Formats: sequence, structure tokens, C-alpha cells
Amino acid sequence: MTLQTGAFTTENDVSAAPTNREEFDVSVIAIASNEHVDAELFVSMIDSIREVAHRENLRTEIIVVDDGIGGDFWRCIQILSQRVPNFRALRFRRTFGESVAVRIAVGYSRAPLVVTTTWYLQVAPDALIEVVKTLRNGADFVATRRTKRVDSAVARLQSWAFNRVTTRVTGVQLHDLNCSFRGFKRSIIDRINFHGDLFRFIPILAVSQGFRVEEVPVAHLAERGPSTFLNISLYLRRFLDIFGLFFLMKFTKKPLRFFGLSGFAMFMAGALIAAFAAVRKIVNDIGVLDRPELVLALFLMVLGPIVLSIGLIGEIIIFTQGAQTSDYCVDEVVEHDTRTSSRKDGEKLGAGR
Amino acid sequence: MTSDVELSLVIPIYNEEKCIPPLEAELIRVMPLLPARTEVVFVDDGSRDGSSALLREVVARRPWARMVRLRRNFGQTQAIATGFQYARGKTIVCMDGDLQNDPEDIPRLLERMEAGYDIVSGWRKNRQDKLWTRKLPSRVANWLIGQILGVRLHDYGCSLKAYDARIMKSLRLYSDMHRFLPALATRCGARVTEIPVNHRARTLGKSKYGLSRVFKVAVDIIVIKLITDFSDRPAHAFGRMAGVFLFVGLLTVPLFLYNISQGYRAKNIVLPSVIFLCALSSLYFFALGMLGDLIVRVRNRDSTNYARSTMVEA
Repeated sequence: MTLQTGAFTTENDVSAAPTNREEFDVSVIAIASNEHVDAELFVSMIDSIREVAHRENLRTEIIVVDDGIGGDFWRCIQILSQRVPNFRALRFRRTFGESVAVRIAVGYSRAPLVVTTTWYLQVAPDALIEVVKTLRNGADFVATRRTKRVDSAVARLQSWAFNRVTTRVTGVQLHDLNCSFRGFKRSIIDRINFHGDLFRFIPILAVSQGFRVEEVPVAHLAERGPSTFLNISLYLRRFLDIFGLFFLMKFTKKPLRFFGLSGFAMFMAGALIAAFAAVRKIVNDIGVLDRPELVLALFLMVLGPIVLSIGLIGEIIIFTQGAQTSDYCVDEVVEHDTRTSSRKDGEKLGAGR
Repeated sequence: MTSDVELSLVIPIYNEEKCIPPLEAELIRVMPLLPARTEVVFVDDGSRDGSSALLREVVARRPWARMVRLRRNFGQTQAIATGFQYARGKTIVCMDGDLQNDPEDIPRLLERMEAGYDIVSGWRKNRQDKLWTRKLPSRVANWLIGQILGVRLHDYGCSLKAYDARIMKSLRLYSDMHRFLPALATRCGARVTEIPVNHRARTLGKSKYGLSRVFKVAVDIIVIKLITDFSDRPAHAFGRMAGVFLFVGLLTVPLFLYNISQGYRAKNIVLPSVIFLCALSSLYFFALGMLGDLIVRVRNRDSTNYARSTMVEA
């Protein structure tokens, strides 16, 4: 990832970090994006998470990602780093978005389990317990569902519609993709290919990779992100997101099926119209050249191959560049001599090749 | 058992718990006939019955057995590709886990490999399946594949095949490509042959395929044909498409001029649009060809096709 070189600075020197990853039970990653961050709410979030972790005897480290805010917020983080143990913060030079933030923060985490959260208390901090418990019971990814929503009816309606459509399109039954409070096993994140706005769809992508994803209800406390009320460009973005996701899940491995079939259909429609016009010319002697059908037919017959050839280009990319054929789908390798079943997580991966 | 494995048997397993014990027995019976350093790679394609547990026991019991389990059901191509990736042998023999292939045929496949072939395909001469739903569609499909892809085999669908591992590892399998492996491999210069093999009716477990496959295979053949043609030399292939449009466009020009000379005013709109459309699409396909070349060249720079380079040596 090119972003890693010099794109951000870290607080609490990393080189001092112990190499043993099992030192912590869970890494909590809080992402603050470029919006109106309230330092007080941020500090209270950190404190309540630590309180819950302390009560439950979870050895927790906290990683904060300052996604291009800086200024007073970073000073607040620096002060916090003086008093909070096991605290790390990353600052991006500009806003890179949640997907990049999660990826890089996971790279710095030292616990086998990771929980992501917003910079404020979006859900009751007890959710941490629930999420960790579910992960320990074997789930690879835990999504949450906000219950007793505190945001406006319009926001809930939007959210409901978004989740309904996504469920419909992808076939994955999840109810609240917009809730950022999530937990996952640290090792699975490399197996999931997400970027940009796909952040909110990570649970769905995890399901499509064969991971065990569960959803737990959590109590909703507050909603502080940028207003999404009647934001037309946002609706359009979400629509494109869902469509992109659909394409990604269904046709990544076979773009020519999608483009080829639609291109073929267009071509055939054009050919039919042209044939129809030809028959009329021959039988009824109705002119071909001075009627619009021929132009329509021609357009379709040209558009068909064009659409098909885009699929071909996609297919060529996958055929020639698709280097990782099957790494991501292997769950475990069982060998006779060691008699140990090594789950294909993280570091063990290289061994099998 | 490290890198000097002679032969890897790759056996994809999907919900075949009833077949695994007899399969193990057959493998034990055939082992003495195979090279000394033989391994069996079971690929559990996300089975949801007891197959995983049974395979685990087999691996614990037999020193020659290994198992790779996929996280969910990814389909036969992905299972085979994974098996190829984990196979350590110089030769790879792939077979079904449903007992319809007879492991006793493997030594004969290996004999042909010794004779200098890179792929030896099984041919189920006396196929024990239903005529209308399995045998007839298969015959049509094999004929079509032979016609379109140029490599004539009687039985592309037969899983029992022996491959040179080096060629298989240089191929990238995805989607539903496993059926066309011999045709794909010949593109890299592989020599392919086939021998009749034994085929037995399915007695245990359920078949995973039905007649619905026919349409899919038909689409697959076209897709494979297009990919192989276009990814070899994209600029040429797309250039041909550009040429077709250019030709049509140029043909229209005299017609247009004739119309003008006759004074048909209304018709003058249609023909110029045809000319423009053809000229523009011609440019478009030409540009796509350049793009395709770029993509293929980027790939060739960092990994040259292994099979091709060895063929030059030989």
C-alpha cells in the first residue's frame, strides 16, 4: 500500500511496541474522520470503553485514527496519550476514509480481536462485551444492529430502506450496515478486499468469502455524523455503492457473462429490428432508409459489440492478472506428519505454498 | 515427504461422506502400483456433511494423505485450482471423489505421461450415466468444444486426467474453466492425448449436476474462446473488429454518394449516420485493442509464461 509511506505520523513510538501479539485480548480502533469532532465526547468514549474493558478483565489497547483532522483534536490525543495506558494514535496527513483507516490501524494492532468504533459513543459501551463474546464463540466477524434508535424518523427510514435494498440485492441478511461498531478477528481482514465506500459492506464481503458473520443487537446512544437528511448526492452515491457491490459479488470472476449477455441481447434486438424493417421493405415496399427503425437497429447492433468488448477487457484483466487464484478461500490445511490442523490465519499462510 | 513428490492425486470432495471410506480403500489398493512418493490431496470444497471429519481421519491414518479445506463451497474449478496449488508432485492426477472414476486407471495414465505427453485425459468409453440427461448433452458439448477450441477429445467432462504440474501451475483457473483445461493448456504448447478409462455408475451419494448445465457450458465455451483469442494479442483481435466496422462504413460511402447524385434528400440523413457510427466504433475498438495490449504487456513483464518458455527449450 503506497499510503503507508509517510502518509501519517504516530503518537507513542511504535518501535517500543512488544512483538508478542497475544499481550492484549482486544484492540479497539476508534476512527475520527474529518467532521465536527467534540473532544469531550471523544474523551468520554475512550474512558467508558476502558471502564467496560477493565470491569470485564479484557486486556485492551486503544488505537485512535485521526483521519486528517489534526489541530486541537490531535493535541487532545497527545494529552490523552500521557494518561491512558496502551494507547496509540495515528494521524493521517489528509482524509483517507474509513477503509484505509481500518486497514492501517489493524496493521498496528497487537490483539487477535479487533473492535472498531466511532469517535463518540454511538452505542452503549457494553456492546464491547457482547461483540467479544460472540467472536470468542467462533464468529469471524460481528456486525451490530442498533436497537431503540435515537435518531430521527427520517434517518431511520433512510437507513431501513438502504439496508432493505442491500439485503435484497446481495442476499445477505443484515439489518444495520451503517453502524460502525463492529468486531472481527484480526487475521481475516487481509482476506477481505475492501476500499473506499465499501467499508460499510465489509460484513457482506466477509460472508461472500465464507467467513462466519453474526449480528448482535446493541443499544443505540447517539448519532453525530454529518446529516444525511435528503442529501441527493448521497443517495446517488449509495445507489452506486450497492450496484458496485452487486457487480463485485456476482461478476468479478466472470465479467464477460454480464457484459457479454447484455451486449448480445442488444445486438439481437438490433438485428431483429433490422430484419423487421427488411421484411417490410420486401413485402410491403415500405422504405427503409427514410424511417427511424434502421438508425435504432444500427445503434443497437453497434452498441452490443461495444458493451461486450468492455466485458472482454475485464475478462482479459482477470485472465492475465488474476494472480491470487485460491489463497483467500482456503480455511485450513491438514497434514499427516504434524497431525495438527493449522487454521489458515495470518502468518501460517506462506507455509502451504 | 517434501518437495521430491513424484505424483499428486488431487481429489475434490463436496458432500461425499458415503464415498470416502470406499475411496480410501480403493486408494490403498492402488498405492503399490503408483510411484513410491505419491501424495493424495483432498480438497474439501466446503462440505456440510461429515466429509471433513472423515477426511481428517484419513489424513491422520495415512501418511500419503493431505487435506485442504475451503471456507465455503467455491465450486469445482476453485477446488481443483486450490488442489493444484497445494500439490507438490511433478505430475498431478485429478479425479472425482464420487467413485465413478477407477483409480486402477491411474498407472495407465502415467504410462502415457512417460511417453512424453503433458496431459492425458480419461475417456469414459462405456459411460454409466443416463443417456438423455448426461451422455447426449456431453457428446454435443465435447463436439462443440473440439470444433471451437480446436483440441478434439472425446470426453472433456471426465475428471480423471493426468497433468504436468508445471503447466498446471502456470495456468490461472477461475469461474468454470476446469472443463477446458486441456484446450487452455495446448495454448501453452502442451501435448494432449486421451485413453479409454473405466467408468462406474454412481451408487453412493448424490450427483451435483443436472441438465441445467448445458446452457452454462455453451456460454462457457464461447467465453473461453473469446478470452483465449483476445488475450493472446488483444490489439490484433480488437483490430479485426475495428476493421469490420471500417469496412461497413466504407461500403456505405459510395451508396451515400449515389444517393446524393440522385437527389434523395431525406435519405441523406441515414447514410451519413451509418458512416459516422461505423467510423467511431472502429476507432473505439482500435483504442480498446491498445488498452488490451497494455494490460497483457504489464503482465508479461513480471511473469513470463512458464510452459511456453520450457517448450522453447525442448
